[in-house]
Amino acid sequence: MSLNESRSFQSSDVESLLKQMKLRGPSDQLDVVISNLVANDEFAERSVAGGIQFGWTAILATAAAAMLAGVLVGYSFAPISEKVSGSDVATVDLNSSDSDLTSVAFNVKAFNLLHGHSQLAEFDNCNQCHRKVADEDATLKEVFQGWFYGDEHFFESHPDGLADCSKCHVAATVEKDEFAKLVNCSDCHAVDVDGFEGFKRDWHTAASSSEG
Amino acid sequence: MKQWMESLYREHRQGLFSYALSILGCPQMAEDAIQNAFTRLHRSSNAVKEMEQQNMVPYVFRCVRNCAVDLQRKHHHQRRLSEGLFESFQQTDNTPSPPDSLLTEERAEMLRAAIDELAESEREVVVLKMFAGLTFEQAGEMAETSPKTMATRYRRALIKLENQLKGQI
Repeated sequence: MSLNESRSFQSSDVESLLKQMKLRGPSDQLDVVISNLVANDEFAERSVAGGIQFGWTAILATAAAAMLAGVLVGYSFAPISEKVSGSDVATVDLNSSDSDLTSVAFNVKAFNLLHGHSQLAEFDNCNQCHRKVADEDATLKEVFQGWFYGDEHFFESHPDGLADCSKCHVAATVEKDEFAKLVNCSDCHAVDVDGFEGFKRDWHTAASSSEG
Repeated sequence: MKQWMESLYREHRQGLFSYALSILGCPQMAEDAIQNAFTRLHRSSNAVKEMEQQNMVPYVFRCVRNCAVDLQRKHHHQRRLSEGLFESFQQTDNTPSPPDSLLTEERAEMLRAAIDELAESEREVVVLKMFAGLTFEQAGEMAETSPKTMATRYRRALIKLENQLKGQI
């Protein structure tokens, strides 16, 4: 090691090294997307990487479409008797002793859309994410606590994310294959007898206008 | 109509990307964050137009940060900054001799690791100042803190990096 190298590093040396580091740049595709955005007022929000962006409108509209499509082809919500299959319709075996899952039947497509799971996700192993709790409600394991669509305003208001779903949800009436209903959410949500009627505040508008 | 957006994007393209990447550690997600931010800006462009020119840049960086944090929360992405932010060590005009070159590559790797070890706020100011070219005033505006605080963080970050490298080489 030369004398030059053995001398102590100084801040200026660090800055000099930092300047020499070659930064990874964005792809040309991003340039195209931004140009299109500027050029078109009507801009379809989609992922540069090809993923799906979730917004409440898109989620609810697409979920409704997915559910309707399921009903039309005759397999909306399957009876609770089969193992989770990872196919379009999945159910959980209530009587299985080795199941860690709550006894909720669900439509995977709708579930994916509503909960932000990937459309490609397989659900053969739900207990990787979920554990069974005493009240039979599905509670997400710690690492998945934030797996829910929400902007910063949502997380400010719901600091625990979905750490404890029973704070907001009551267990589904399994026999009727119903989804869990929202409870105690009337601060933010307009809740009707069927569970959900909309938001009291337009969170997206609020988020956009207070962006930054 | 919204040409200011494109010109701002062109001018700060690399900086915005580096900043988003420093939060997310994933190039694709960083691009998504930028796209989401500009979509939001596009929707609220009337409000942004009222803004003074000097505040525009910090505002856009803040939008990108918010979108990146949103994505990070949604995906719980496990990031390691050094894996995404830099490509490879850049040879400069005063190309070092081969033995020095090897050492410099080592330093670059150590520097990557040292940047990962920085506190989030310190890493942020290093990225904003060094890679995005923001002034302390702009960085402070973006982070909603004073330029002095940003300068202090920056100095502290450099000292930490310096000490890390000192200990390694």
